[in-house]
Amino acid sequence: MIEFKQVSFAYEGSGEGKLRDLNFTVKKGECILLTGRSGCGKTTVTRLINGLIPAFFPGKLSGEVWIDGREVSEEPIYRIAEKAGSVFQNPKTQFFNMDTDGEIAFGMENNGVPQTQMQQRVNQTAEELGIEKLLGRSIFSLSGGEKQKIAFASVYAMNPDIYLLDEPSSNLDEDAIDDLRKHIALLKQQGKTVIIAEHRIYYLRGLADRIFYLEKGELKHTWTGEEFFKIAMEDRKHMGLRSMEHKKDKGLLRIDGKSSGKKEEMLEFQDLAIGYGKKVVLSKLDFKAFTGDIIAVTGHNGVGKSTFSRTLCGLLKPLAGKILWNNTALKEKARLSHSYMVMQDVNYQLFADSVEHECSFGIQNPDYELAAKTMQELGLSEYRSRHPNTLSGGQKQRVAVAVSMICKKEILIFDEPTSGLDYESMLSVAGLMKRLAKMGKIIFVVTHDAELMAEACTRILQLEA
Amino acid sequence: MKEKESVIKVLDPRTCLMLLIFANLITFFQSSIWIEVGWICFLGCIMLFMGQYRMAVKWIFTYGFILLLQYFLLPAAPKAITTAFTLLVNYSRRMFPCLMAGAFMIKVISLRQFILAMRKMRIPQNLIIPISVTIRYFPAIKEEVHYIRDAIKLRNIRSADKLEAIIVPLMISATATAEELSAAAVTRGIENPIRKTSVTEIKFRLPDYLYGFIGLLFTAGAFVIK
Repeated sequence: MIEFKQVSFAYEGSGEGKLRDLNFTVKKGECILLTGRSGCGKTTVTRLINGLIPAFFPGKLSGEVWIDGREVSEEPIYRIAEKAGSVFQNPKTQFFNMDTDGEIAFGMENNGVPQTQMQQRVNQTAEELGIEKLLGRSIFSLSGGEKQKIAFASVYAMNPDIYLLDEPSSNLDEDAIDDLRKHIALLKQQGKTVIIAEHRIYYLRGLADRIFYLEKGELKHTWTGEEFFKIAMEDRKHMGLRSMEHKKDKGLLRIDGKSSGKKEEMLEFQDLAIGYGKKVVLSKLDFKAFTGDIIAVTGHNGVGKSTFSRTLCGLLKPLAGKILWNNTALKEKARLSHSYMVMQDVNYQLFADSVEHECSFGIQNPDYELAAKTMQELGLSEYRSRHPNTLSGGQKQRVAVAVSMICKKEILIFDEPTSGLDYESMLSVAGLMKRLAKMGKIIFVVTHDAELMAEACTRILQLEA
Repeated sequence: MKEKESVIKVLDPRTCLMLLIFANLITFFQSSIWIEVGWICFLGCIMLFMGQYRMAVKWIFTYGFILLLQYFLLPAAPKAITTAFTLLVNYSRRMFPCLMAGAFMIKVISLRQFILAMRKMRIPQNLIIPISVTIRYFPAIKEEVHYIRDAIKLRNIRSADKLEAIIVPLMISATATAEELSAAAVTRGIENPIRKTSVTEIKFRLPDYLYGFIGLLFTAGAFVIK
């Protein structure tokens, strides 16, 4: 049993994710969905349960969190870790070993499980989760979805009573989300307590027993699963929640369909094969894109979406075929100067110490007038002297977009721009893309987000191996 | 990285560490080129036995090439070239025993085995944790630099600004990455003071004793043969 008694918390030096006077009890075997807008404090709740707060993240804590009659802040983290296992959002940074077997065994090794028992448990885990084919692999050869499965397996192998999942679906494609759903169902069957902090909620229909809705750090509503999934669409949107139903991308034109835009400028792929080195990842890509298009690029984890985007913007050479811009073939260098990618982790492409400097950093002969105008257009003027790193995720994205406009790029690629975003933030990304399309850009957006596709995209490019 | 467990298992990480120490001693104390040539061949053989064919060939050929340069090509070259390059060639050749042993170690030992070896050598736990987090961080940096370089190319940043452009995002992401890595390790009980166990076992087997003994002979030779 988990009990929160008048818990308040504020991180040191940050207003984000704080909590105010939380009171609730979670019974053994319950499945709880924590949801709410970005920054509402749902991740903070999971950190209070696994003991990362207060031991790892400093801040001001009052009130008490109890697990099975023990107060969390009084116990060392490794004691709590035996009871509550945590799976985090970013699959890249939760690995400690370079091979999958070692990773699954890692927690057991730390807790001193005897060797003979351990090997058996690793195999049992793989079998129960259906991931036998991932055993004996190098971590670096796995796709994001596979990594997430291994992270889950390594917690499962420790067999805790409580599972804490922090946005486990944010890097997963549809099939992987299906598997995640099955795994959570398996935990419920075993009588485990499961607590999931999520934006994407549709896949938890029929699994979540109760739903906690947080707003600005306060527990605003609790529903049973049945009540919650009956909430009207308008109310749901009003609360900033993502879709409760799984939308298929029906209604979107396939890439070979006609474009809605004017037929002036266009990009054409002719019998393109892409890949790394000699390894062909995808071949026979043949299509045209016109200004004003917003094209969703989808496909399974590991199908080659990032190879596709890197080839498109000139970071990779195609293995065969041509990419044409207004009927002339473009080499890598020319593509680089025509296109820009807004990366999934925007932090990698922000270099300067203020938004204003960012808009001219490293650019040959920067046009300051254009920079000022662009900042104005994207609503960044008031942040011009702020350090990009102090901005929110959505604002950082807009800074990156501003850079692309100042560099006069015509083709824009967004890589998973809405992963982990709430409804309103997703809408504003969609709005931004639509505005860019209206200015006559060609937009590609790599995404699994069906809601975003329905909101913004005009066509879809489904990549299949 | 793709090697099967069974291949990696053949050598104890402590043997690799020992070979590295021998390599250092040999580098700094040998005065006979034959000891060095023998040592390089010996390391090459170990690589071959461990199934690292490409690595063995690469290192032996590069070494052979440098020998050729120093003893045959440079003496025959014009004086200006000889004086300019002799020092460089000589020193890079002398670093070979160490470099080769180090590269071999990095290739065949996984982080897990290294941690295990440190535990067996009774290095205190509160030293092992930071060391292993640090080692684990290197591949993460590699991945991050890759993304940052893409970003630099996309913006066509002037070469003068390139260094800054790599360092700044790396520093900013380093904080987050280190924090996330540690959080993941801590919530899986890395701080548990209990005696830790391991799926794979490390122990000295026949090849370990054999390589250790031969390595010792070479080291002794480096001191004795002048």
